[in-house]
Amino acid sequence: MKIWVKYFASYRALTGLSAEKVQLPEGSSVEGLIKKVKSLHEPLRKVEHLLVAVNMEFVDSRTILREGNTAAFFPSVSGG
Amino acid sequence: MIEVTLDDFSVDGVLSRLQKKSMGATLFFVGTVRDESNGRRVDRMEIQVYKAMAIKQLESIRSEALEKFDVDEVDVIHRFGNLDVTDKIMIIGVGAAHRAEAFDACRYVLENIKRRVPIWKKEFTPSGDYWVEGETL
Repeated sequence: MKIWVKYFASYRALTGLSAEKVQLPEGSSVEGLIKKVKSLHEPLRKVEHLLVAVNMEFVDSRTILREGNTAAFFPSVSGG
Repeated sequence: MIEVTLDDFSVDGVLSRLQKKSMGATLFFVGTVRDESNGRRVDRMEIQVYKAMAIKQLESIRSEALEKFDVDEVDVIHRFGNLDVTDKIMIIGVGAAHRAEAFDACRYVLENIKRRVPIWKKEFTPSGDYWVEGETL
């Protein structure tokens, strides 16, 4: 299945991308997605705890993904 | 009202929109760009946002504040893009019959913005540019 992945803040510099499509086996979890993006982007492997949102909601690594989901990876937020 | 925008805003404009006859207290928090951070001079700031998610999170925080506290209205405007020192970054406006609830609701909204809303600030200093360390859930 294809997942649309967005990167924000310092993760854009680490990956060189603002977004990409990632291919994953059906039924993959967020943990699987994290492993995949880390395999694609070596600088992300140094990041211990990636924050992930799926379809604009914070999720944990056990969340199961579906075809067409949009995931976003970003560091701790600093608005306000 | 929730707004995430490139544009500057007027505090008077927010007051005009917010105010109702039932309000005895109207409270504002305005965040601005400082000229110093972590011992470094800040020349300007860039704010990045995941806009659709930021609006969704702000609307949730606003709804929570209206439910938890006896307040009549909560408005938030947060800017993104390139800002200079002293520029306004964001405003929280809270209107209530009484001040105690207004203060509590304002603090609730601010602390949750700082933890939950996908917005990131980058400070530009003479020694380079740095992403501000954040707080998250």
